[in-house]
Amino acid sequence: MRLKNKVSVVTGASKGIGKSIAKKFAIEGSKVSICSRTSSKKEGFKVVDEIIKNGGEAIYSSVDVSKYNEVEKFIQRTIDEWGTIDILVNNAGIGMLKSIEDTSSNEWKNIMENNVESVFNCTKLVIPHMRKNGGGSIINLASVASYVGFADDAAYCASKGGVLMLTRQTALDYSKENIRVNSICPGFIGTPELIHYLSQTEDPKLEMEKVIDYHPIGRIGTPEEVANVALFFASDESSFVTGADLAVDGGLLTRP
Amino acid sequence: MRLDKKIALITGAAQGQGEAVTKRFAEENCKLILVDKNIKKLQEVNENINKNGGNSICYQTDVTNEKNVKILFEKVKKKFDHINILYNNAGVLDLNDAPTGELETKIFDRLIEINLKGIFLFCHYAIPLLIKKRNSVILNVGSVASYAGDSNFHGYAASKGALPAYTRSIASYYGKFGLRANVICPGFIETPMVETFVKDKSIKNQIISSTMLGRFGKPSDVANLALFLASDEASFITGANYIVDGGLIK
Repeated sequence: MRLKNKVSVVTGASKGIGKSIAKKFAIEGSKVSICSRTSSKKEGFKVVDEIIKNGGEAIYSSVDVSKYNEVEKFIQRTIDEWGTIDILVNNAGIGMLKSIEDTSSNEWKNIMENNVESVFNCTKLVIPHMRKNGGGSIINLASVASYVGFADDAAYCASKGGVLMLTRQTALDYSKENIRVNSICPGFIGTPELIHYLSQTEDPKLEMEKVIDYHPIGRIGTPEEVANVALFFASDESSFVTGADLAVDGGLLTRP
Repeated sequence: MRLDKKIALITGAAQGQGEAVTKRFAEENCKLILVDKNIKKLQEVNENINKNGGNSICYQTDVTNEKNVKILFEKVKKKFDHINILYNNAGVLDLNDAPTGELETKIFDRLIEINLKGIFLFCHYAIPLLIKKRNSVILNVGSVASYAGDSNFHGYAASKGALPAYTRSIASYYGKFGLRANVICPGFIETPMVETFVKDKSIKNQIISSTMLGRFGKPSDVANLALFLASDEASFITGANYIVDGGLIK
């Protein structure tokens, strides 16, 4: 087991990539404290049930990660339960398909709060516990949109660019305390969010073909393929890796 | 076992990072074809693997000699039919490497010949064997110099800097054949090759203080990343540069 006796926090873990990461970490021996927003509480508890049924340990909290005081309670609950945090996965995030002109100030703020401020909140609140523990690993879910622009995707692309840079900067400040910080940049992954995105387009089937075509490997990715990267970053196998960003994108970024 | 039933060919397997990758792959039940120019050391590594329950054979090969490489792959084809992993680790530094104004053309040529053409030759002859099965992978070993400027070693930087572009192109074309291709960019790793130019303690300390983690990497740090990228766990990862440099402060 590659994460034996570790304590992990995974945000946005009721579905998709977060769920896959939580389950994978549990299989590898980590205790897992997961959260999601109240609207997906039921799915969140289901993830915990599945983990426990497989012999793992997990707890669920309903949290809006963009709210500092809610994250504070969430982290404290994890500490009360298990006394320490070794691994933080900042996975929670939202998308929105709009150009800058079509984006209202409130929509912009909403994306930034959910995708960047959430990372700030969780990271800031977890670092003191990692310090006490002599180190830790923080994993941020950035995106291929951290490197390249996508049409009508202004706020999301900007937010993911922010996550990538915050990763590098945080790595720099805390590496001396043996806290490693890295980001994962997924391409298009078969998640409920992607299905939702496709359903908003005029011709979902044609749009899916277009999305697949972005990837030289000829398909979209699976949540588990992203979870595998998270496991590598979380485990001691990556002990010399910090401030890095690893793409898991089926070759999307090789295209001009 | 994370590389069960896989067959990997590793170049520059006789020492340093290549040796560490060889050992790590063997632990995960990978069949190994080991290649190096230094036959004595190579045979030692090979014997060690087999003694410890692994499964490997070795061939002395000069990676720059096309005839040599061609014959090697004819043998590999006969014996194994296909391979799943090509790990292009062989590469050199040259102590006569220098800033461009002072760099002799023959030194530049030598670096390109070994570090770049060698990799091309192995990719060229390996690809037909790699694409016989899906989920195969090429891992090319780059360097910090693949993504950042190297003020002293311009020939080395040119040879390593070409790898991301070359590897991306392989990923882009051969993705449809189920072949992945990625670059691993190690920082300063404690190996005999790095030892040749950091004998001086002050240079050593300078390097250590330039990493966020405050240390040199170990060959096993690179081997762990190599294992991840070589395994099916990395099945959606292609065309990427993966950095294992302890957070070099750029």
